[in-house]
Amino acid sequence: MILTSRIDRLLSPKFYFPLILLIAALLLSLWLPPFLLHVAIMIVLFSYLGIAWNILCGYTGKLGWGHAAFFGIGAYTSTALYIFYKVSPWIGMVFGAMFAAAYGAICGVFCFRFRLGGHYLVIATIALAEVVRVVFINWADMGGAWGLLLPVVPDSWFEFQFHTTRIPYFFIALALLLMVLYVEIKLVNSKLGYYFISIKDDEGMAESLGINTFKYKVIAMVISAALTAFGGTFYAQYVLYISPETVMPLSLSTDILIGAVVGGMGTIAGPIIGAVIIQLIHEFTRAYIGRAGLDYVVAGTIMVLIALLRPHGVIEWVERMYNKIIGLLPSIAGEEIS
Amino acid sequence: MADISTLIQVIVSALLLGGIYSLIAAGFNLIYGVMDIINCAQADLMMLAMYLCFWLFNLYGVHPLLMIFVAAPLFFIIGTLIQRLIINRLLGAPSFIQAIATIGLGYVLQNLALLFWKEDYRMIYMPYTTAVTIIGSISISLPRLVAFMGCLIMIVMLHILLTRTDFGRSIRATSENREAAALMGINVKYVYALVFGIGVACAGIAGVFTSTFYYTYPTVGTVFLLKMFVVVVLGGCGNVLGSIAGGLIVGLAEGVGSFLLLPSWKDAIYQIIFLIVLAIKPTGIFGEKKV
Repeated sequence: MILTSRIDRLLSPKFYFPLILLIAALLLSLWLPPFLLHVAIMIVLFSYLGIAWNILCGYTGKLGWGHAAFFGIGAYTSTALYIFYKVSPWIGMVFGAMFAAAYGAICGVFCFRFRLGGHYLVIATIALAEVVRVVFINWADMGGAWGLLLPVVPDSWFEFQFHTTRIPYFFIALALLLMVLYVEIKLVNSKLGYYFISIKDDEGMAESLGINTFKYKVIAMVISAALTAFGGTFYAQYVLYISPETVMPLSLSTDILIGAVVGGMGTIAGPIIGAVIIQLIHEFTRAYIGRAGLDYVVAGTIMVLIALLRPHGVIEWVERMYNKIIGLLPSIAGEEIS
Repeated sequence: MADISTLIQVIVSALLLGGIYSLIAAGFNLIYGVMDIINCAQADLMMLAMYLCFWLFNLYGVHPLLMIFVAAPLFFIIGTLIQRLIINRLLGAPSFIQAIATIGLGYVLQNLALLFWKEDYRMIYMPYTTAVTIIGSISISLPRLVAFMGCLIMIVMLHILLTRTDFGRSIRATSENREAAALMGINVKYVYALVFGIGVACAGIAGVFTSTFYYTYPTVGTVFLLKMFVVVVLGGCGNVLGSIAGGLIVGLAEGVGSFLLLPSWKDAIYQIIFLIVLAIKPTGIFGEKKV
């Protein structure tokens, strides 16, 4: 019985439709021209970052505006280890995540120890990220304000560099995205995830039920920081040049969270939908209109409109459409699984 | 003794710059105190005022200081329009939704400037902007001095408006308790529109003063935005006079910090002071209002 119901579930549209989408994305990436592949990589990277941000902000409801610091720490750690000690970026990535997690813990302890919330938390996380940026601007060994240039080597998985084609980058980004999705889904259905959501819903109530909200807020910050740092390393290896102004500015923090906000905070698919919308706007206005600024004019307008019209994100629309498609698809097993 | 006089020089010019921070923060503070909205577009509106001065000077030779009389009403109208179209609909929304709306608005303004006027650093060049007054052994840049005085006068006028007039009383009543004020016959929507207008007009006037001694470029707002947050928290949220103290502290920290350390550290210094204050007394040095 259990076996057949499991097979039934695999054959229902709910399961096979996302799988088909994933396979289609993988196959399509092999045929995409370089520019569209770049757009696809950016979409996947920012989906990933949006989900990492969402783990802190979407589930615990604590809005951090300084994720660029974690991103930058990830990028700088792996790059510096690679340049100075010839450590493979794959290992550097893990170290970057550890450093970012440590800084995330500091930020978390600082912010939540003093029970900052709302506007204060936003400003404090901005300040904490700005301090890191200024430190890196002044850190001569890390290239200061000029930043670090990664030495170019022939394509290799060990060195995490690919020049003849960007397809491996796409696969790596997709692997990161699948990993973070797995982590998120596991988290949402775990005790930890319920604690997070209880903090968002009603912190005082959560506390009165005996939940150590301080501890779980810091844990959320640490998980979010470590995951964001992976994205930083990926970006460094993709662009091969990092500087405080490219991997740590305030505008990057905004870029990271805007996707999740547009898509829908506190949902699994929201950041992905948001990243698709925002990155398509960014890359295409940048490439085809060719005047700096227009992309952010559009993005800013969307932010205002979302806040006014759809404070829960566009996910409601997309979800309705998605469910309609799934409803139309036949179940291979022949019967609906509720 | 050259060092001491240089230090005094640094302190004076830092304090003068602090006056500008005080004024934009005072406008921000008024909006925050009354409406509980953080207007992240405040500094970008200031940037628009700077461009206004720059272009009118370059195209028609209008003296930047005269622009105060244009910028104040113009930005007041812009402010009431923003309040009508955007802020009014977000009054009950969660704070991050409000923040996202105003940050989005700031993005639009910033990037419209970038779109139309490119990212060049522009400066008004005229005898006034390079004039220097010498008092004793220190020389003071005249536009900075005028800007400082102008900003202080504006803040004091704002304070008098809030504490000594009927309109000010209705504003304060609204900020204390919206429902009760409405029951007492105060038109809350009207008060909010005026408050937002006044707050934005402060940014406009600060922009006029700033344009006489600072570079104008599309992202200049970001520089002032971060400082403005810090000034507001230092001076106490919702406390208009407190923003004078906050502005002077930030100006001083920045000036003395870049004198003692390297100039490139100056952005970290006031942020660290801010974080320390946040840890010790989150209501600000002079703040009463609860977090």
